[in-house]
Amino acid sequence: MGFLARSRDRLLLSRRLARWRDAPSPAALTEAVHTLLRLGEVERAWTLARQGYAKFKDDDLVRELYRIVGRAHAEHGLVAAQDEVKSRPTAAAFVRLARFAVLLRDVEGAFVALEECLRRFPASAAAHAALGELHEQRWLRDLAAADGCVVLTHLRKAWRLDGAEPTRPLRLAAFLARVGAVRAALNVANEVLHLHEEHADAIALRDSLARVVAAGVQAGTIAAEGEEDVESLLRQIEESGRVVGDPGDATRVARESERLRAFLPALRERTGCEKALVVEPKGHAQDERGALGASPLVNLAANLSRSGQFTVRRLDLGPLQSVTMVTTGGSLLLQRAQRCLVGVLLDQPDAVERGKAGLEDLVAGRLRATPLVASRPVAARVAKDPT
Amino acid sequence: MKEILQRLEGVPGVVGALVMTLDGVVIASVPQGVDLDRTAAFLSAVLLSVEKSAEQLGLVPLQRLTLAATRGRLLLVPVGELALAVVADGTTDLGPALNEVAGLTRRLLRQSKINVAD
Repeated sequence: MGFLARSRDRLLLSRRLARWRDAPSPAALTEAVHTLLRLGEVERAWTLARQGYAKFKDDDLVRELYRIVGRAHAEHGLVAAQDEVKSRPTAAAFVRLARFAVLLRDVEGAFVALEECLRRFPASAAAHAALGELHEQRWLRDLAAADGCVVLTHLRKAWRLDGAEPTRPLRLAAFLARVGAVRAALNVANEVLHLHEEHADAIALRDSLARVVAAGVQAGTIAAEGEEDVESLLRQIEESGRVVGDPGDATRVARESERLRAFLPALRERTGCEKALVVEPKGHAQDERGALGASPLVNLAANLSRSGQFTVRRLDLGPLQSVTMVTTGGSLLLQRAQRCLVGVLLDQPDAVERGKAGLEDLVAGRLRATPLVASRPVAARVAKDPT
Repeated sequence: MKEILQRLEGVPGVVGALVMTLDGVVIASVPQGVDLDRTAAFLSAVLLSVEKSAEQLGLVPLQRLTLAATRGRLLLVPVGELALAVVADGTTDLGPALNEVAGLTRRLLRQSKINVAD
């Protein structure tokens, strides 16, 4: 940016900030934020964008602005954290670096930063907690029991290393409850309350878990005494491919399925496939037009998905990533995309490589989404299917 | 049969292999001493569960079924009335193993034809 343009922005800045202050509007916000960004004042722009987002979160322009400035803020923060890690490495700097990497969707970078942090500062409770959170995100994606065990290890270490911080054991309790170990979760919540008697979140969690345990004991689904075998619960979840006791699980899957459907037209174009579909963990399938009824393709995809998951897990190969069925009459490819599988039916046997490349592009976010005709809202689908 | 399977043991990335009937009876397996009966039963169930829908879609005959997981892969190749299953790790390039499997499949196919003629 030239000197004259920058000088002009400096002159206009106070007027634009005043305009936003006196008569807030999406247009005033956009002008002020862009001026700050041009002047390199990323953090001030971020503060302003957050204020604007809180006021006008339904405005498309403001949402887009918030996303752009958020990215600039994360990039700025990442560079600052990298410099800090190089010049004055501390556990806090590594954790900040990891958080900015996550904001920029560099999850692998975040893992590397936190693992390096724990190598240098093994007693950092914040790093254990952050690594536990990252592993929890990974666990939610493919429900691997091994990831679930790592979440527990890190959250427990974070708690042991800094018992005064109640949010980490509460996160541990929430995770235990999510996997069905409600009695173990209740014990953690009770321990937190020994130290923090007035903690509102701990009280709410304790009360809700106590109700679940009492109801479970009465119904005979929870033993009257003793904690659950969490590892065994995690293995059961891995095998079934669902978190049965988690009320948010169905919503997560439905949202993910909605998102993936939008990529099917581009996938069809990319692979030249005959049909493309999204298969949910319970075997329901959808294409971009909506839910698909029973058909040989849906049955085949659902059967392959279910029996494939079962087989690889029995062989201790971990969660299923893809299925490739090659026949003389054509091929069916299924690729895991978080919890769902995306499938393509190819009528040419030699189109397998193209199909695989298309599915990889979809998973890596390299395909464009097509706006879909409104389907049944996620909440309605979940409400109709309480399992 | 075992002799042919043993050739796979030295292939980089290959963890184990078995030859089974389509209804899940293990004919031969490597490495020795590993109980693969349940694996064969699962694989047979997989083949049965997909058979009808695959036929309706015209996806026949099956040439290869690959299940890729985070820590390894399973390849299933029908050979006449039998099926060859190979478990391989998830990181090694499977090209050499696949070539070996293809060669083995052809040999098994010849052998099964001879058996039928007998």
